Amino acid sequence: MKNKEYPLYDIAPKVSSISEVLEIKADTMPDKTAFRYRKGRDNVEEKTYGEVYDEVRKAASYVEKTYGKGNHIAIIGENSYEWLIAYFATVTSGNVAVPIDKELPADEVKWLIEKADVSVAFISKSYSDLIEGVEGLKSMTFKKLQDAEAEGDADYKLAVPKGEDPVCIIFTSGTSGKSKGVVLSHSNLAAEINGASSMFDPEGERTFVVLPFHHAFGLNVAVLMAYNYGVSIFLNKSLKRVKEDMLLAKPDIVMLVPLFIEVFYKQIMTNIKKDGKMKQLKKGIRLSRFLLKLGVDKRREIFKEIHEVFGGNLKYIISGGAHIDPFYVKVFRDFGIEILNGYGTSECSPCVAINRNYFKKDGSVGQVIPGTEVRISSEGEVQFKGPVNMLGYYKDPEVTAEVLKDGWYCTGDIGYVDDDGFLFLTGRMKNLIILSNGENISPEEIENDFHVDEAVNEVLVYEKDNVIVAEIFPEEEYMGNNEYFEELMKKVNEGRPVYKQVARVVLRDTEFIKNTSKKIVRYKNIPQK
Amino acid sequence: MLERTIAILEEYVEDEITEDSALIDDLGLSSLEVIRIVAAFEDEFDIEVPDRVIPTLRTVGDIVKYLEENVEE
Repeated sequence: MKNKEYPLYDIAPKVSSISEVLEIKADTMPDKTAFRYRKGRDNVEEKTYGEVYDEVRKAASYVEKTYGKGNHIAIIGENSYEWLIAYFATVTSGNVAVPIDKELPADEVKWLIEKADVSVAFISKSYSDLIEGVEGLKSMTFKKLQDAEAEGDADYKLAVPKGEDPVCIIFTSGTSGKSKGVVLSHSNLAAEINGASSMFDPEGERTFVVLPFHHAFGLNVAVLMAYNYGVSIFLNKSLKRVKEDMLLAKPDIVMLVPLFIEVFYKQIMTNIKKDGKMKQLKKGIRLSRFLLKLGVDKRREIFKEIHEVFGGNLKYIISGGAHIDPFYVKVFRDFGIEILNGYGTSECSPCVAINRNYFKKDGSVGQVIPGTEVRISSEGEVQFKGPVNMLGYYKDPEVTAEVLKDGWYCTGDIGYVDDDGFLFLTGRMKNLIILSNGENISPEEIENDFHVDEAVNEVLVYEKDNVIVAEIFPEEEYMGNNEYFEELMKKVNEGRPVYKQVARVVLRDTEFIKNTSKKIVRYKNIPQK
Repeated sequence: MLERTIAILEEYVEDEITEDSALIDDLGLSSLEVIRIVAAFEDEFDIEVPDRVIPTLRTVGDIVKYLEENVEE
């Protein structure tokens, strides 16, 4: 098929809520496998679409009977089937889900719980200490919720929400140092599932989920959209076992952030070098490119060993959450695996643009999904308007007004749209650091932690080579005292998740460049890549 | 234990590994690679390292200390 415009897909049912997704699947394919996951070290458990629906009905009826409706319910834990049942039971019983990152320190988790007015928490037993001592919070482990299904009503009718009702509050790093709660509605989620699935055809039966569920990309796209396609979803519970799980899952498609792609590439190349097969690889690439020109695609046979790393069936990787170097897109294409780059932001549910199976441009984040418009402001900012736009930030009307203007969501990204409607990103207006694992880091949040120390006169935090660096202009008596600042870095890192840890402290002996109002000018002080 | 730890790390680190080496900054590993390495230690020593422990393993010395406390020789 040539790389040109073609009609939208109509391969997944159009839905209006998660309740409807669950009902349609149970009705049309009750015996098909919905989820697979590792149970213990060597066993794989399977759940059919019919079984998922039955479990959700019982769990949702128990949730409504025990807690009522309209609660904000936190869900905290490692990716698991039990996590998803807790989520489904929450959003189909008239409650609002608040997924929270399990890697955050307890005080931050408590802050988010208060900020989002959470009254109930479903939590993995391994992380239950995170909510100890939170006043007035009712909680239940995933295991107990599962046991409680026995008391649930197997004939419970899942809640039919109004479109504008909130379905979840997803926290995202803000530029001013504190997380903001993105409120998404049932309509937002439906528009996301319907819009994105008309752009892309999974062309297979199996997918593999490794992205965290507290992220909009990991939950709304990798799980909910895949569920609506009716494919079998393998849930990876621990990043330690990605390689082994991939071999078990044998996926046709995976959704990843660029960091995973970079690590897979490195792993492949290390093995090739170790086996002394570099020459063979280059020869294979030349041969497959020549054959492709003749219309013959033998990439899967030529690069069989590389495909085996991914279980042998992988055709597509959907990449989002951060910028991906086009180098990886080209090299994986040589191997016979197509990376389709997309663009998402939690505030837009999240995916608003994607390259399509057979209409794509390297370096672009694709075309905007149906129903959503894109425009470029006079300052070059990318802005979106459509049914995927969030309701707003929870209890934060001022910050909401800064980014939602006349229905347009202002992304803070700079870019342009070409004549074919492909969106290209060229930079950022905001300070937010976006790492290749898709995590957003507010530099101010970390700078504030350094600033409270008496030895720090000025500090600037930025990303270099995909790690976080803190550059410090010390107070005079601490000049050159590297040991002191190494210790300070350890103190600042305490309790932080790995992705939020500072990897390096750089000391400088001159002040940072400032503007006329004596504010540090960030871009003038950060080393250019 | 330090020697065994360094021997395993050498499989993953792409130019010196000492007890003080920071996994990410000095050895150039990504956070995902650190997680993969922890899995290799689990297999080698037949132990289960909780995911929550991983962020505390910042240097080679941290890994050695964890293994000394949790591996039955």
